[in-house]
Amino acid sequence: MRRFELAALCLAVPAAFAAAWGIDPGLQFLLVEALVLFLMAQMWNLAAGYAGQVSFGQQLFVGAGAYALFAIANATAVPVWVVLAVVPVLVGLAAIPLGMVMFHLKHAYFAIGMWVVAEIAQQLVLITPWLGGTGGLTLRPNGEPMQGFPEQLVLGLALFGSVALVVGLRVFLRTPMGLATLAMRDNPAAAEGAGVDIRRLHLILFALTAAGTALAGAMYYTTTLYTSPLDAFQVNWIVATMFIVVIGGIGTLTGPAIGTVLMITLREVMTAYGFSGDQYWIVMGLISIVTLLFLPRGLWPALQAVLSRPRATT
Amino acid sequence: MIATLADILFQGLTLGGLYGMIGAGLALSYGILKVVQLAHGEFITLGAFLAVGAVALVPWLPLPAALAAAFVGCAALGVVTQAAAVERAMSFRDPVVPMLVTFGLSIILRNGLVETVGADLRGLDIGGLAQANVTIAGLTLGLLPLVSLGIALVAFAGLGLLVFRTRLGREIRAVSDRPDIAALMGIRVTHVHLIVAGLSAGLAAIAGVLLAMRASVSPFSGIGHLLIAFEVVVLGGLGSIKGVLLAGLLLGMTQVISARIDPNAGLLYVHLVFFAALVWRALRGGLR
Repeated sequence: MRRFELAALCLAVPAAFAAAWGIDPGLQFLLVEALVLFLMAQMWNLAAGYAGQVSFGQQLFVGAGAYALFAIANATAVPVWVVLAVVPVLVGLAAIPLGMVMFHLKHAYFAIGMWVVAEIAQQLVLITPWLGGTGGLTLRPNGEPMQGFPEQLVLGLALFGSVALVVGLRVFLRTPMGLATLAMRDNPAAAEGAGVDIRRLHLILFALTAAGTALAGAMYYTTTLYTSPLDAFQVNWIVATMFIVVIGGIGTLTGPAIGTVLMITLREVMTAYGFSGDQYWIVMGLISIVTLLFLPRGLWPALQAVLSRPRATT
Repeated sequence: MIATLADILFQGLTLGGLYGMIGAGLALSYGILKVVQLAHGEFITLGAFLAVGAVALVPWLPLPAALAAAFVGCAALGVVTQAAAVERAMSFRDPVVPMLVTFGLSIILRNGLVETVGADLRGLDIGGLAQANVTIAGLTLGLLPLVSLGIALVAFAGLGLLVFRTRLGREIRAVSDRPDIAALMGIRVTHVHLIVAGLSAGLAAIAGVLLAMRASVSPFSGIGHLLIAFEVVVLGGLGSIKGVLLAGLLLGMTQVISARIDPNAGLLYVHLVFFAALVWRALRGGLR
């Protein structure tokens, strides 16, 4: 681990504590949402940008994380925070057989096939009485109402987790498996020729993506204390995730951070000026299309190219 | 009992034709342009709302005129979006770019629809067609499903004739197979792309009008329609009009039977049948 990565991790700890106890609740909810979206975007980016698995079914893992947390925490005496740690492991493991089936679909077929799976999961939860059906579930650990202010701890966790994820991914990309991932991103056929087991690597990244997205979803719904199929499995999760990655910069670690800041800022500004949610999504759609047409790799790689140009000439 | 069975068969057959119709435009776009048109569901919904709007303006409007209005409106939008965005996106080596562009397009269209027409469910009833019946060999059949099946079949036949029997169809197939060679032969490739995009959106609009006559639609119906279209295309295979119709029949029959057993299940069983077919084909190694 490099020195500034270690420094970032060390700085993240007091920052997390400060955010958890030094900020007013309204801002805390906004930050939780932003960080959760950032985590989801980084996960989708790992799958779409690095592994080449564009999927429109990411909301499957958001919902799975939320419902796994609520179902286990409500039915057992295990503390919520322990369940929160177990949920990503469960969802990640469950993603392995799913991946083995879905990888038979290639490219666009895989992308929309995952969407169909997410719809199936939503419909199944809708008709399952012990998961609350259409009414959804309220978080009542062991049948008791939730105590305290979960958004404080979740914000601290999400802040530290976001820094740790970026550092972790940086370190990961330097390991042999990470180098294989980069090789696969740049040229899958050549990577396979050089001995990379593409299928195995795809499965590992798919499971990691599922686990991380489930954790983000579970954290988010811990702060709302309530989840429903139409909310947890909604398409807007993947819409927001995709816009963040596409605008910020696909296949880079910094891009999703830029995308998240842009997206949340634009939303807050537009809401403040009285624009409706529909108008906000129309603007986001336009920005994403313009970005794709003129900077298909996103803002951050384009910015990097501009920033590094003077240095290259000197 | 037999009457119920005949009714299920009839409903499944007509809904199947409609599902095939839903898939046709997407198959055309994916097969010829190699673009997964994710705004396809929104073109379907938009077609439905264009017809609803036309009938609201002119209450005595006959069905063919409503169909034509929806077709022309959507086809124009398909051409415009192709020219403004998708065509440029297709020039990138990465096929993911056009897919993501059409995804953005679908978000714009969906939210634009909510902004203009509101989020309510709307239906379409032209000339009391929804209540009319015909009796054939002792069976009372709704006139509306028959008419809609007829329109779907005519549209399929027309599409087949256009693609396989005309000069334009030959150009379309040439552009699909080898765009570089087609350009050398003097075919205006971009021009053909625009026509295909317009045709695809227009077919979606016809499907949308038929859907709005059968059941109501809302601006959020597009997602469900896109997924059905996708399932029809994957199961039916690209470039096979017969395959698309058969896949539509399978899914339509599934929907009719499952709605009898569990009216609250929505599209669950349609998706499940599709997924089961997928797993089966994956296990047999029959998918590429």
